[in-house]
Amino acid sequence: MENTNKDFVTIRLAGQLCGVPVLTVHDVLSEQMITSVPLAPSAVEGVLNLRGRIVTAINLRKRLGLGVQDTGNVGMSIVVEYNGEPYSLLIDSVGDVMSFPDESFERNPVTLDQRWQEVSSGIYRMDGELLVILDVEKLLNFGKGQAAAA
Amino acid sequence: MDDLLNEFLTETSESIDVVDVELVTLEQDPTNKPILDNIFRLVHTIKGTCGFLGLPRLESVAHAGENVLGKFRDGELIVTAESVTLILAALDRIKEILAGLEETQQEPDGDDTEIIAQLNAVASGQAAENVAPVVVAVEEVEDLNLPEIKPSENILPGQVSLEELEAAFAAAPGPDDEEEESVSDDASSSDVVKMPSAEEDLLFRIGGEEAIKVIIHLFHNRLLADAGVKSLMEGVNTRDSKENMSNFLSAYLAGNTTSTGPVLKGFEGFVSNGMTDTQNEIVRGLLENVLEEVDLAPLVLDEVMVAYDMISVEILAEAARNVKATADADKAEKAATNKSAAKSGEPSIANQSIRVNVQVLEDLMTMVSELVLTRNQLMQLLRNTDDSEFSIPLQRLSQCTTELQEGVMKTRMQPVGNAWAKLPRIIRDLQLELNKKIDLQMLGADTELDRQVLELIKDPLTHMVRNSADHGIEVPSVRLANGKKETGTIRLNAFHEGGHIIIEITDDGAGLPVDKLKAKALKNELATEDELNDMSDAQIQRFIFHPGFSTAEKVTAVSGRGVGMDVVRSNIEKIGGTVDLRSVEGKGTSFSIKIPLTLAIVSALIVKCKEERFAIPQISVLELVRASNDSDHRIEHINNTPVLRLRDRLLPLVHLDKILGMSDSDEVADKGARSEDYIIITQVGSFTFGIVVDQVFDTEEIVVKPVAPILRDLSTFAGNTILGDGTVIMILDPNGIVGEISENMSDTTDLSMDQEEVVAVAGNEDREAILLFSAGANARYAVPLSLVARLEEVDVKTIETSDGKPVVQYRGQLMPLVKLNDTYDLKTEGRQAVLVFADGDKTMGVAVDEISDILEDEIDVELSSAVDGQVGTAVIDGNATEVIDVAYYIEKAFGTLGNASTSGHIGGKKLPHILLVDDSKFFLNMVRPLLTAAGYKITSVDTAADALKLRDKGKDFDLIISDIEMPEMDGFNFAEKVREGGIWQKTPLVALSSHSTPRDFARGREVGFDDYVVKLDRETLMTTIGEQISKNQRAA
Repeated sequence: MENTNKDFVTIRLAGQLCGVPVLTVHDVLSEQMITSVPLAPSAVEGVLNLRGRIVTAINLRKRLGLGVQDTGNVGMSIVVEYNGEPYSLLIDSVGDVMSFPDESFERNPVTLDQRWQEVSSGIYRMDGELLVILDVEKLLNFGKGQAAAA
Repeated sequence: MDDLLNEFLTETSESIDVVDVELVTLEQDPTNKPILDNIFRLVHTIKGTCGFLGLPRLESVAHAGENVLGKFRDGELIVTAESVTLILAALDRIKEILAGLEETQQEPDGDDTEIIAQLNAVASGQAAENVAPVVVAVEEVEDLNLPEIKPSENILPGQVSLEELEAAFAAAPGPDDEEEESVSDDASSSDVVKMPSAEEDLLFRIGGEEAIKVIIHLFHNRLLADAGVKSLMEGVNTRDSKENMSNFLSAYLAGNTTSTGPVLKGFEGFVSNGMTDTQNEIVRGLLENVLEEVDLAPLVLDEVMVAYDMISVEILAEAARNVKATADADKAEKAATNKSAAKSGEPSIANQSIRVNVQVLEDLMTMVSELVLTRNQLMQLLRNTDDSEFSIPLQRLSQCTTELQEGVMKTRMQPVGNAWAKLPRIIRDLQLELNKKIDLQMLGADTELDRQVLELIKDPLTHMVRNSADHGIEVPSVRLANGKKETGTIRLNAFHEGGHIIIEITDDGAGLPVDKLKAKALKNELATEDELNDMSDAQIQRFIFHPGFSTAEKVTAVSGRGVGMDVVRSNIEKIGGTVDLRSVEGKGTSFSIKIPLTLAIVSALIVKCKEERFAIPQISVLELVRASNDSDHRIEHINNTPVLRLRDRLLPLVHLDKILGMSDSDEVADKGARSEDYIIITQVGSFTFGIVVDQVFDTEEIVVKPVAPILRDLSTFAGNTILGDGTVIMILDPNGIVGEISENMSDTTDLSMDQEEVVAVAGNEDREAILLFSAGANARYAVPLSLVARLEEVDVKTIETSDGKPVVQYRGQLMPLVKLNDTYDLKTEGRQAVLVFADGDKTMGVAVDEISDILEDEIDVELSSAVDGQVGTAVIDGNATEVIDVAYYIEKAFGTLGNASTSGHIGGKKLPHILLVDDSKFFLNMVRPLLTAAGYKITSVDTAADALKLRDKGKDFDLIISDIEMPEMDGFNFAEKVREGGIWQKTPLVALSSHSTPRDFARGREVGFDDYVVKLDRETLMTTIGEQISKNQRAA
């Protein structure tokens, strides 16, 4: 049998455990100095310098319409790339890299909130918890969606 | 083989590009022999090399093309459009195959029989009628047997006797064997003749002369790359050396020569630079490598190496002699150094450029950019430490970095003509395809810009030119019917303008049909009918920049596939450029692309606003002003709109934090109370304004990096960058800020667009800042802001009466106050708003109720007024507004100003007579009283034609002032007419215009204007008039 497991970096967002495919994650950053960008969409926290590259910081809580952070550990983020541009996704905390068998994969339940529905590509059943897989492309595509709506 | 193939591909596509252009030239000038020779040579080389590399498809196509070219060259065929088309088609086929070759390393499959047959038909169709070339008349014959015909430059004179030559010729197949016949009547063009019988010789087994050439070419590359033997090529022109060496080897290997003379010529560098035995070993190794690389059979390889060994003995011997001779001659030579230096410098020019992979340059540029940033970082650290031992080395480093940066930038600059090279061919094809006559003019092709930018505009440019030819230029019959010349013109013009390159594409075609665009916009639901009715023509014409918008009724192969101007626009905007268009239906269209010179490093001013820092490109910063309550400059407010007085001008101000939405407007209103502000005076187009920031740091060199796509919609930012201290900073875009301002000014979000458009359209540029105020019963009055010197509020208690008229003490002078009209009464308490007008050193105030607004609009006086002090009524910002006549008030305040000596003219004499030409009634009304008041006699007309009528009637003037933008005949044409002859030929001519770019100025001078004054700049106008008239009087 081939190994059909997939690896994910787990992150926590407002209590929800989420996963991002491990190969899409370039970096995990602790708190960074972020230059805010006036007039930018609200989910854009600002821009930061990561070893000479300019990275756009996206606040995932704002992106997903979650409440503003209540806990103290601000500033953890993971760096992903989309269309050749680096983005850092601000999250609450980063967990482990975990491997999940394909058997435990489920489609999104249809009743899932629209906002989550849009950015999630499915769910893994874990012991005692569910892991929502975030689709980086969909997460970062919002600039266009908003422009079209405006 | 990879290296070989790559080199072949690069060289061949370059040659093809040249042939493309040359063919079009040839078509216009079929008798141009040098061009024809050049084309023939290039095609021939391509063919020969293909044969050697084993590319049969390419070879056969090139061969067929070459046949036809050969007939042209020999005068057997006349160059016609059809045959040129056919050859161009063959070239296209070659390009196709090359493209396939580049992708797969193999010739793509395909059938070329049709095109070859066509080419052969053209070649043979005429060939039958040909008389065989007369042997006696032919001085030289090249390459009679092998299909590879040497390019004509491949020469080594004096090798073969005439007898041999004739024998060779006799042995050659007859001239009706068109494939192999190639006769040159160019005496200097060829000579190495191989005996057709020498089929078994070494040369043949290597693969012929072309193979030798390829080998020699590679051999040279290796020689020049090897440090040990590079010196052997010193002082030798590589190209010549290649030729000489190939010629010699071809002859030698074919067994035609054994003499030593050619050896020495062929290996000139080796001999003159005194090759040593060690060097010989290296050279031998290099040669062997090359031979292995071209996949020569081992047996042949050995044979060639043996041949080389024999040759090298001779070279070494001669070299040793030469070294000795050189030592002896050294002294003598030193005396002649200057002369020889000049001599050797000349042929090596071709040798002074090398081919460098673009990626290498790109990487270099990136590294230099990073280096600059690091340097900046170091410098910043240094600034914080007082007296460091690092400071001097760092200074040096800094200097070197700057020079390095400049150097690398230079390597990236290319003439814009490179992007145009393909256009003549495209236009030529289009002419035939569309049955149009088009003259393509290209000006400023040597304007240089960054390679990266060049690459990015290449396609948009081509597309636009194609569009102009396809949609713009009409077919000859239509053109004639419309009273135009049969041949349409497309003009490309490139030039620098303030850190930007402007490229204009102008055609004199049909222009953009507004009605059709409207219909199309409706159909595509881009706008509703109401919206369309409200739009200006220019706005509607800009619809062509929307996706999927093509006005051609039918989709031609040329354009109109819907991927059109929207792609062009987005491509240009991607590199920070803008594209604009002006079009007059029936007259033509003009596109103007404005692009930054380079995308790399710019110098920027770092400012702080709230807690954030921002960068502003230095190029858009005119000056910095520090404003505080106790300095000369302070921010004043008109109805909460901040303004700044700067050298007798009022500049509108914007608060950066407000523009960036970083504070609400209440906070901004408090600003006045704050003690200190920095104002960055910025100019965008002809609009000058100030940006208020909290603090100004220093300037830094920054590398503009584009922002993430999510942020690309923010017009306020031009990009972002990393500063010396490692933080990211946003770069402000003054253009975008202007857009924001105009949005704020009149709440319609689209105005920024409108404004751009209006500015873009000639003749519609009379937009100016207007001050609106109220007084008495009529609520709305207006005056151009530029005429107002200051705005004041005076305490009514300080108003005194002198001679029965109200005056105030103002800046140590008595300033008369004038009521706006008789029905208006001064306030009795509180503060009185006063518009201060200045004339020379005198000031007067007009008392008004309240200053209500400043906005940008066009003053178009529709009803002239009978009321004193009013020019007339204009619609401003949608309401009828009375425009006041400043001159009237000045006169009223100072009595009859005409005989006062405020102006520069000499009293007592006859009044100087000025002719004023301007189509704007408002302007005439505005200036006329001013000039009259200053003591001039004025005649005014509103068209240039009327003015010329006056001339023909024999009216004489001391000075003519003319507007530039006028219907029918514009100011430039008028000036030309005036200068052509007649009684006004010597009369001073002053241009008056809202255009104020140096280019307009230069153009004005060119056509005969003596001076150029920006509209509504009263002071300069007065001075200029004074100067010109006195100059003329002196001259008279």
